Amino acid sequence: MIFNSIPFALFFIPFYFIYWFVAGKSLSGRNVLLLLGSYFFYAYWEWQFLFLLIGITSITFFSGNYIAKTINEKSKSTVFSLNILLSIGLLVYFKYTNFFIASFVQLLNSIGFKSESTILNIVLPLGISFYLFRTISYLLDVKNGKIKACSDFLIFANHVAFFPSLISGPIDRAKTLIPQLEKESQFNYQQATDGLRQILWGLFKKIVVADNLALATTPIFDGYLSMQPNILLLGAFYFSIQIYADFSGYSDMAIGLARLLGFNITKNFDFPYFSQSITEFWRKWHISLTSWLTDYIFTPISIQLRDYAKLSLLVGILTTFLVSGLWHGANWTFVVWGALHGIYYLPSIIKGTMLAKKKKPKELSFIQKLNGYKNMLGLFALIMLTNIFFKAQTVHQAATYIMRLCSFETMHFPTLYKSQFPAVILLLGIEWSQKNNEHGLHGFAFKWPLIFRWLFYFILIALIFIYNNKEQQFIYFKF
Amino acid sequence: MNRLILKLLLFVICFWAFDKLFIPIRNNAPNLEVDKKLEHVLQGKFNQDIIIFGSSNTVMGIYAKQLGDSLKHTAYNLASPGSDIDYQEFVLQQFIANHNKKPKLIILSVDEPSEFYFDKIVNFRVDRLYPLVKYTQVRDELIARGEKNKYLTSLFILHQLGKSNLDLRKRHFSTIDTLLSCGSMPTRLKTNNFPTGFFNGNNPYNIARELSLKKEKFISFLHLCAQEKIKVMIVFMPRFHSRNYNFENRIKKIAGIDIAYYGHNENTPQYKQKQFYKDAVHLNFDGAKIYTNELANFIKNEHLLD
Repeated sequence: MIFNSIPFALFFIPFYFIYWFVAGKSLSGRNVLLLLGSYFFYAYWEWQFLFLLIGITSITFFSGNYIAKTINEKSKSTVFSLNILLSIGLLVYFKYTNFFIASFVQLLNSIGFKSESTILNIVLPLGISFYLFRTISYLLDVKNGKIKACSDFLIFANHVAFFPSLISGPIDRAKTLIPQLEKESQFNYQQATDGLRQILWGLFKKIVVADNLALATTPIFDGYLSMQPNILLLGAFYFSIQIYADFSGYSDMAIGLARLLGFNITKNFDFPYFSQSITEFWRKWHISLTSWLTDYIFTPISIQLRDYAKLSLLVGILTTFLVSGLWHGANWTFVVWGALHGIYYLPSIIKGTMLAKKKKPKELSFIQKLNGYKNMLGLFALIMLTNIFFKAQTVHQAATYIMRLCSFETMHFPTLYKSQFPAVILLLGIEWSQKNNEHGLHGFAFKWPLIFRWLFYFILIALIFIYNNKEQQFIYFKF
Repeated sequence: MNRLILKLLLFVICFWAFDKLFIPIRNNAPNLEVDKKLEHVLQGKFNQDIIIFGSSNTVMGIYAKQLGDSLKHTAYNLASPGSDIDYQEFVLQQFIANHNKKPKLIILSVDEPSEFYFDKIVNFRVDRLYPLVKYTQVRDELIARGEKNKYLTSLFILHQLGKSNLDLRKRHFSTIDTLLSCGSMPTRLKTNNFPTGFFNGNNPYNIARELSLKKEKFISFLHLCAQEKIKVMIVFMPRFHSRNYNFENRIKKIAGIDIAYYGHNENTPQYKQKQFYKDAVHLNFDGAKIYTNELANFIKNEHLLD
């Protein structure tokens, strides 16, 4: 049941009206309904894994309360460590077992021991990376005294399983969602209509842009050995747009759905391709994951190694990005992808500008603007090339793909896969005009006369209907 | 909340009216097409004695007019480039369902070796269906294939359309393509897509690579013909290598013995010469004439039209 599917519409529309009927009357009634809805949404996919979700939720809930209440530091530490070990163990088992087996066998073969790889039949529970990160951060925050342990199981279970963000994020922190779950919801017309606009924009990004681009990127990456260099360049460009439209489209739908239900969840993308530096990019790309990794990996490492000045930043950054790469997928391509992003931080670490906050001047001169655009394009080109590792099946494939791009033929205008251009231009144009707003449709067309505004929405819906062919999974579902 | 519900209702009603503006676009879409084969099938316009099914090597390699003339019967090449047996079976189903005149003989050309393999280049031509969405049968097929949703399709014209429907220009053949009135698309184009020399060895065939869906569609194709009492012959088109008997035997094993088979004459020297091919798997017009002549003689000798 993905957001852009009929089963989801059949689930959500009646749920929505019952929800607001109940929400106005009873807080606990609303939370019961929300939890039932979330569990139904999850079980619709794989009901067996619902028990895992409930199990993890229960263990984390009781551990959190135990850690908060007990004065015995040793037992507090033991409970905490066991819980973290369990979460990481589950993640490693479901996500990385086959990767480790394959890598180990490869290592054995490379040093002369002949061994055959056995792939275990392990099904990855949907959204496990997202909800485990949510429970881990909750326990860490409780242990470090940043938040109070949640004493209401219903509220905590809703925080872990909140269906708009359960499968593919954003990874909300307890301090964001739990206070909202503890308060009664009031229906807000402006919030609901803005939520609808954000859902519409998310659907457009997913169906008209991402799925449409997939029709080009799949054959280009599959046939990378026989494609012309200019088509390979187009494939790399399209894939960068595709992955953004796919994931930010999903996030827009998740945030929009949450807003319809009266909740404000974490913004996940802030027009990252318009960034002018790698630090700015990572402040704007997959914000909830980046801030999670910053708080729980980068910051502790750099604090531990603070005596080593720049080295602490370097180790912190590289570790963070290697974890980020592995989080994205159990493949060496993702490790390289993460490592490269870490390496791109090197100049700012060496110059000492990584943590410095730049003040933006109110008025930019023509030259400053031009410089900004140059940086933006340069950064996009770098990220585009790096994303080849994200899409490729092997490091060798990615390297060959990049090698084949080193040709003057990339300068030729591509003659194939041109039909995707209008959708990309429409996406980038609207997002550029809204880059200081919450989402692509937050302010766009908002002040137009009703008839033109609605006509614009009709055109977007028309495109969504026309481009909606076979149901496509979201790229980030596998993470 | 009431305000939101009322506004949403009004929005949906207005959108529903907006949606109906696309009826002319949907209905005019077939007129923009240059290849009318499938539309004529849907309209029941066929009145030929011999109908040929297959993919690109068939549409280029069998010259239907020449075949018909030499057999003194009418013939039409209904093959589509890039189509697999799944698509061909769909076309045959529609051919029968829409009361086209029953042909005396159906020639089914099989793709060697990928008739039952997964092949990116040869598949179900969904793109041929979108220009014809005004026809209920086409919409039903798109729904059955999970391309479109049943309920949305019945409610909204826009959901019936595909991307190609947004291109309102009249389609044209490029200078290298042509479509004759007999349905054949012979070509004089020559590419350099050839192996270094004519391969004369034993070609392998891997049963493990077969897709059950394609086999089912192949069997269903033959069943449909049997049900309608239409004679079928299966042909193996010439390629720039020796005949693949492993593949031919596999086809014969699945199709059965009550069917006529024709593989080209290996002693014909032209099949070993590049100038009779467009590329390693497609005959050019000169090659097509030779092969069609052979095929006509075989049909005559075997009395397949009697």
